[in-house]
Amino acid sequence: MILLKNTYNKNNKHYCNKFEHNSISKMKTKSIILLYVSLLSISQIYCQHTEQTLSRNMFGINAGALTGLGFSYKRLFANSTIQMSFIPVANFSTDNDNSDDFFIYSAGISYIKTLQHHKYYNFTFYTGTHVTNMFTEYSAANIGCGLGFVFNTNFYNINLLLGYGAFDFLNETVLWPSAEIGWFYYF
Amino acid sequence: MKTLLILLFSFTVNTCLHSQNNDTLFTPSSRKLEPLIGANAGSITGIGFTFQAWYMKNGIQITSMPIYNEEFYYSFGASYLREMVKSKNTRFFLYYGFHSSNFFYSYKDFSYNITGGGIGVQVAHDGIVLQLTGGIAGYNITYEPQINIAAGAGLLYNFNNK
Repeated sequence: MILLKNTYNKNNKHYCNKFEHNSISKMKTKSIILLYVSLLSISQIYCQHTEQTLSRNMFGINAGALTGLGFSYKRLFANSTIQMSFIPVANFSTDNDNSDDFFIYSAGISYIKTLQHHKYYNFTFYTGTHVTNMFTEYSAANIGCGLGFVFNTNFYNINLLLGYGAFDFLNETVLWPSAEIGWFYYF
Repeated sequence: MKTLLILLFSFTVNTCLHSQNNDTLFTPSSRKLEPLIGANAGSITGIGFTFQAWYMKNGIQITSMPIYNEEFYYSFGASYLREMVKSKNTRFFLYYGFHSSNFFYSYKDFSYNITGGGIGVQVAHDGIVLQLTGGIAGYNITYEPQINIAAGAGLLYNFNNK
């Protein structure tokens, strides 16, 4: 461009200016197209990210006396959540000696209601029931309710709940405080 | 005269700005009831689930935890709180309370009674309130009274946080 400018500068100043002007315009156009493509790419990435955060399904792990132990699924609604936790542990031998065989499990279902929304967490009420034979010879059922916090990020959330429950209420009722913790990932 | 007027004006502006700063740091206690709920563990204030309510500079705190496991165990505490200083996120207060419990004895009919008072602080962030208390108390006052230091901690949620 400089060479052309020098060549034509003496003879035809007007032509040189026009040529220079066209080159700059082309560069500007290219820059605008490049910027547009970049912005489009960024917006696409952002859209994907937003869709991820808006998912209503969460999967994770949970441990709680009222909400259950093990793998856990959460279904999110506007101001409430249904949570289900389950874990089976079994040992079945193939030979005739069945003395080491066992099957233990934990299954829990709970309902979480959001009372107040905050930027990083929700203050919640929860109620749940949990059936397990992990700590007794038979299946014991627990039921109760409480309050707690659900901390939110764009990718996962953490449940920290504190409540009060009736443990093994079908047989020997024990009234005792309860705590629940859970980690869930959006999918 | 002109200098005097300028000085007077400067003094007035300075005083106004100073009073505005004070208002920002120490917000006046509202006439609205301020309820808090959470968990607390303290030798004077009690152990368990706690409910606290403030009205202007006065507050009450009730803490209770009943446990039934073949025998009945309990902890019950009631305290009066008096606000001293309050800023946007911090509140200093005096408290006096009574706590009765049979958690620490194997025979259920024995109640361990504690009474005393001290100073406390609440630090709040986005509705979550951490409370720390410390003071002096008379322990086992109905049987063998002893005087010793007292401490407590609590985690509360303030419903009037917005």
